[in-house]
Amino acid sequence: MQSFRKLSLTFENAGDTTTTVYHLTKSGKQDSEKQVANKDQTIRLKKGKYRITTKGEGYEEKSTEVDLSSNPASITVSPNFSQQRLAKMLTAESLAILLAINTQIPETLSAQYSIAPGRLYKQGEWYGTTISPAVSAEEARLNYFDTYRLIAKKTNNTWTVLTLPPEIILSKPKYPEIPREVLVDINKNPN
Amino acid sequence: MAPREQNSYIKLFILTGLVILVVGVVFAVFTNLQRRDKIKIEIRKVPSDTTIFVNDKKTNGTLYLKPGTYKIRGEREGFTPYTYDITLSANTPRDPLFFGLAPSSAEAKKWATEHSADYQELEAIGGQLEAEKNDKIYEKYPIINKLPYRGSLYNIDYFLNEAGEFRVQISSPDALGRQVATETIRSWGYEPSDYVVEFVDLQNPFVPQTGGASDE
Repeated sequence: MQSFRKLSLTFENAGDTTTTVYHLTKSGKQDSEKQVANKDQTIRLKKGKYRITTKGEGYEEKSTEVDLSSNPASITVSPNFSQQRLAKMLTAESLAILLAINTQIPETLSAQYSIAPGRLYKQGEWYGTTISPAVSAEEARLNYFDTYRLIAKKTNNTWTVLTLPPEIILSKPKYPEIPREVLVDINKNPN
Repeated sequence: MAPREQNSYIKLFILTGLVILVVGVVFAVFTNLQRRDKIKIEIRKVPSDTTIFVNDKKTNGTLYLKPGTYKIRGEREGFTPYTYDITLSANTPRDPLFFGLAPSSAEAKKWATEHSADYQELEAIGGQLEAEKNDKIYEKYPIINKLPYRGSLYNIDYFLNEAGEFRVQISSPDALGRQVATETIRSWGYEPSDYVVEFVDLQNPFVPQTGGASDE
């Protein structure tokens, strides 16, 4: 009986991160490890459960568990920058992003709307923010207002809003090119 | 038969075969090119000699239509014509169209009585297709199991648009209701981002309004 299974690893913009494959015991503890190089490869592992962890300076630590008990598996390692690194990048990008938003959504130029600082995602190429009516703190406390969301992407050094018009909920079926994790986060985030 | 004559026959046989093959390939390529980027629509009809018109143009057999809006009519003498208004989107498969024409003349009514089994069969196929489609929709969009939902501040429902695309519909007169409705979907374990959510009674301020009253 075959006691090994194949695990295919694909690396996307993994930079100088380190990826380690840990074998998990039945109780879920890590008992042995194997570091893998950041290149697309298929490794043979004994049947069982594994945790694949990617970390590196300036990157968000990310772990994925795979069960190789009965079938081979494929994992894409696509590490995100850390929140701190993304926040720092946002400071440098915010003016260019605001300019793109104001150009593509001229309504945002009026004093009627307020654009939240927003946040960058992945490796800083995605940006999401919310637009709400510009009201006083008192008014905001007393009333509910609809929050509209938008997502922009930086390509060839240029920011472009991809979700036009802004909507209360941005959906994956409508914008399949936007990573789901970005959509989920911006849809949850009121600010 | 002399060997020379036999050779001529073989050559003629091969040549005929080649011509048939070339004509077949050309026909297949031509048909394929004609049907490229078109959507296939099967037609099921009772009576079987019902005439089908696409935008008033008579057609035959299975339809291959480009994305767009069409009026597809079925008619036969003695029966009440039936028209479908359909909108076809690219890459969206379309269900067959069923034309079970109702008899209007005495002769047609007699025919329909004698062929009631044909109508029943058409109905059964339609019903089966509908059931299969519903099963697929339930499997693909499990949120349906919770819908429609009537909250005190909002309603959540769903519909399939003309292109057969699934939409979650939230209706609420105010922002609070819309926010609570979205949270309700999350509380059921579904992620709103996975659905196209449409808000009824809401004018998106970032969508230019069309029509309306003009300034006087």
